[in-house]
Parts: sequence; structure tokens; C-alpha cells
Amino acid sequence: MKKSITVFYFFLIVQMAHAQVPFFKTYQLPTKYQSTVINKLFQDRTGFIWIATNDGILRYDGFEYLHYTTQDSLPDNKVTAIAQDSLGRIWLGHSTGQLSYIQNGHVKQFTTPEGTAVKAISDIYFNAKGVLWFSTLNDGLYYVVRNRLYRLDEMDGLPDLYIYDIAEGNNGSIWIGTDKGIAICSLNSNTVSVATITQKDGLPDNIVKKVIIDNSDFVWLATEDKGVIRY
Amino acid sequence: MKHLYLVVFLLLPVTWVGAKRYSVERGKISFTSNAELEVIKASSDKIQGLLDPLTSKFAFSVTIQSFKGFNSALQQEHFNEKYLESDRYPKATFAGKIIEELDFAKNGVYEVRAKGELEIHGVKQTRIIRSKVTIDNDKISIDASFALPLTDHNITIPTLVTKKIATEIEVVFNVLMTTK
Repeated sequence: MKKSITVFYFFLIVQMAHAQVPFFKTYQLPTKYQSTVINKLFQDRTGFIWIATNDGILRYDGFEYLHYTTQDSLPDNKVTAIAQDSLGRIWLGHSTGQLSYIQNGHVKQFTTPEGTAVKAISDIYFNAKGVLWFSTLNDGLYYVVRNRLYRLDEMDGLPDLYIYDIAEGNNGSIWIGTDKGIAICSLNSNTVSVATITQKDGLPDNIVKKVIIDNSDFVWLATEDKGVIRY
Repeated sequence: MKHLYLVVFLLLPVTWVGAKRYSVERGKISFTSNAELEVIKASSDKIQGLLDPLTSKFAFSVTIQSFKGFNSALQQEHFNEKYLESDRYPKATFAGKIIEELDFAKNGVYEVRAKGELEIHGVKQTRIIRSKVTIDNDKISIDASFALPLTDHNITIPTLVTKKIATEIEVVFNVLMTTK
């Protein structure tokens, strides 16, 4: 009897354990290196999943991967940011500060008369008006109007040059998360005004790594040490 | 004349900032490798560094060859020649900024995060290092300790001595800085 009870409990435990295993599926990337660093994941409007890695960019359609590297004229294999513009082009930011885009399966480098950023690009964002904004890790915030590159730094009022993320407020302002709080940039004709919110203003943590603005205009901030904050 | 103006303008901000910057008066960096078969300790007081209270930016450096206190002379030789390659990479540096806003005019003890690039053995890593800053009039002291994974800086330990050298080194950093 004792034995049968043990057996019964054994089965019960096995059943319980089985029910608690979540479903995970691992995808093997067809990259050169066995362990490839993945920097960003992005789904475009047509549904493709784009994987930005330190060994190029991959497009996954659910069955097959398309792999773009420097051999496909990518300016740099370390892809650190992804976005899609209104024309459907996929824009890539690189660790070198360069930008490129993929159009009809071809990689093209984006250049301006002013050159490029000099540090890794952390985020790319096209605002409602189609202005291209991109942030860098320790080289400030950039925007492009009529193919001219403009840079914002501490002289313009940014709290810090180390910027993690870009979001757009419902009034069209650009919010960025930095190492020294958040900044709100408003582009009017060709001048930019910058307001900041930092620990001095009661922000619980200066390091803000992600900014999301919801439909009710609440700002959600992911911080380094103080969790998620709603502003 | 044009050149003279240029020179004056170039010098102005440097001297203006320079007047208020803190520099290291004395300090010590020590490390401990706590491995299964051996404990290795060494330290150096050859620290140079600057901290600008206006921008909260800082830079510190220490010469690798100045570390003393190893268990043997041979060990120090290996440290310099095999692991840190101090001929090629003579200095370790940490340069960056203090994340928290500090009022340097207000005496007190503050817990801050120092973020910057830590360069050891020629390899740079972005690190956030928790530090205690004590402001006492025109003097500040900074105390920090952090773990240093050797693989972060491409320092490889031969399998023969893995039981004698820890994969993560404990580092303790103390400096006293003044505006003088």
C-alpha cells in the first residue's frame, strides 16, 4: 500500500511539473559565430522580424533568414538600432555612429554633408512629421531635416550625451532617456527647445533606459535602479 | 593678432575650469584575487586623477607597474609580463561622470554611481561603479569597491594556474582630492 501511494504521488508530481513548464522555442541564428550578441529585435509593418546583432542584421519570415553583413555593403557589422520609415525602408544604426537603410533588399549608406555620428547609435525614430531622429551612446541626439544633419548636446540643454531611447509625446515633442534624467525636445521650424527632468525635479533615478508614452499621455520610464516610473 | 585672440579664447575655458577642479592628493588602489589555492593581494598609491565639480566628469589613472605586495617577485613579474602586459598597456584608467547631482559646496557623505569607461589591458568596458563621496570643505574623498572579471579585459589565465588566480578580482579604490 505504501508503495502504491508513493507511486501515486510520484505521478502527481510529474504531472504538476509538466503543467508548469512554459513553452520556449529556441531559434538558431545562421550567423558566423556560435554565440552572437543580439542588440535589438524589431517587427516591421509587413510582419518580418529583424534581428540586429554584432554580426550583421537578420530578417526572419518565420521560415528562413536573410542575413546582411558588411559583404552586402553594410557599413559596420555591429547593428545597434532598427526603425522603419513611411516608405517601408528599414533603417539601421551602427556601433560606429553610421546609419544605413535597406530598400528592396539592397543596403544603402545614409550620408549627409555634415557626416555621421561618432558613437554607437542607440535608437532611431521617425516622428509624425517624418523627421529622422537618432540617439547615441555618449554623442548626443541628432535629427535630419531635408538631408541636413543637426546635433544636440549639452550646449543645447541636453542633460547628458549618453542617450538610450527616443519616444514621441502626443504633442509631437521628442522625449529621450539619458544617464542624467529625461529631456523633452520640441522642434519648431528650425529651432529646438529642450526641457529636462532629473533627480533634482524628483525623478527617482537619473538613468532612464526606456521611455514609452501611452495613449493617455502617461510617460512610462524604465530606470537602472529604481524600477518602472510613471510620470 | 587674429592668432593671439584664438590662443586667448582657447586658454580661457581651460583656466576657468582648472581653477575649481579637484585633483588627487593621495590615494590607493588595491586588489585581491581570492582563489582556491592562493590569495594574492597587491596595491598601488600611484594614482592620478581629476574631477570637475561643474560637469561631474572625472578621470583617474594608475600605472600597472606600480602595484606592489605580491606573494613573490616572480608573481609580480608574471602579473606585469604575462597577464597585464604592462609594457604595452602601462596604465589602467577610469574616465566618466557621476550620475547623481552633487552639491560640492555642501559637506556630507553621498552614495553615488560613477559611470565611465574602465580601460585595463587595452580593453575598454563601460562600467557603473557605486562609490561613496565624502565632501569636507575643499576636500573630497571617494571610496569604492568593485569586482573585475578578468575576461572583461581579455586577461587569460592558463589552465595550469586556474586554482591560484580568481576569475574575478576584487578591487578597492580610495582617493583624497583637493582643489589646491
